[in-house]
Amino acid sequence: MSQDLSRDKILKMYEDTGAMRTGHFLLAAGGHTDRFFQSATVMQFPDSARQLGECIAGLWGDVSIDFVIGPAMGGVILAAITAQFMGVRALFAEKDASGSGMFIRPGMTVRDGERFLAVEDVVTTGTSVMKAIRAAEAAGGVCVGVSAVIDRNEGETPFPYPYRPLTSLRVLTYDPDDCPLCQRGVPLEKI
Amino acid sequence: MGVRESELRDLLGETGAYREGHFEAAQGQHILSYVHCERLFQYPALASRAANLLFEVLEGVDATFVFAPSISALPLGFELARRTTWQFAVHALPFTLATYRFPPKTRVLVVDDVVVSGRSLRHAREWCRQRGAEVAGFAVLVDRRPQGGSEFEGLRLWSGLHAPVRTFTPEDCPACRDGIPIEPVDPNYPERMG
Repeated sequence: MSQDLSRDKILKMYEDTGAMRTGHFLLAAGGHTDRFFQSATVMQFPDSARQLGECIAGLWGDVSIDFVIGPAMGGVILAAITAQFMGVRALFAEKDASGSGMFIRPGMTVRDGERFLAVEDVVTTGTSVMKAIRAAEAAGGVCVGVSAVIDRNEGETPFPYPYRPLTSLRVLTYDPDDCPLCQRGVPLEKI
Repeated sequence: MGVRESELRDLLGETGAYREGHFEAAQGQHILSYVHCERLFQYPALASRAANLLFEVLEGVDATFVFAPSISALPLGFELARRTTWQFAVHALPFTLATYRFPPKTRVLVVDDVVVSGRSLRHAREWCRQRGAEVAGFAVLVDRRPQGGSEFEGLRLWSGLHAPVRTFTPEDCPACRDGIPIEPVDPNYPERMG
């Protein structure tokens, strides 16, 4: 591996680019939180984005992989960069018409039995990357691992696959009915 | 056709990104060829090569930022941005926020994989303007407008390849006349932004 990014370096990258925000946020999954990561803000600096992808590629040198997939939007560029460093194909999955699942455009290739890595910028509950995994599995692929730049999931690994995040962070997610930020009257921002 | 255009046409053809057939486009028009660049962009090395070919024609572009308005344009936009000192934005948070403002004096190059009617480019330009950036021009890998050219709505447009689309009404469609069945054009595609 040509480089290593410590947790401090990754957090500094997010902080320096304004990608880590503090306040009171409503997460897509419904919980409230005081810290939020906007990875698109980091991804707008191609050199930083490439460092992250290169490090993820470096975590999987011991595993044979045919393609990398990421869920739109956060995982698309990360999958492309990671795949570039691995020398394999890059796919993405996006929300289907129902909005509850994801699909892979028919133009992108998944051959039966191909082994894939799923990547995502920030994993909180893992729902979005799981939908991408399901879409790739439905197309015949076999998931051999998951990576995230930042894992902010509390407790158990959210995936039934080998999971290698670049860094893990304990960020509390509050139940809307029992949120100390709500109790303090901090205005809630929807993200 | 120049060397660049013919190499791009080969890249698109070999990966199945440029297909000939019988397709139904929006508004019920029939078309005889279809371009979906994600077929090409799934191969990072080829995506990089395609971006290089487009980058070579970007002469005189005065931009500080690349904006990719559609998911399928992300790899191309990113690859162009990394060949420059420009920043890169995608149609995702925080840029989607109505409150988002580009840094002062930002000049945006809107990068898309394909232009057909120009609706997506027009929308992207308005979107950038509303967030305080000036659009310096447009770069597309494949220009499918009937007349092509180096201009779009008063601004410069750079393209890698001009492959005009010919549209037919079902009554006039030569493929219908020959009894060729219609292939669906990825009905799952969500609408592009706007």
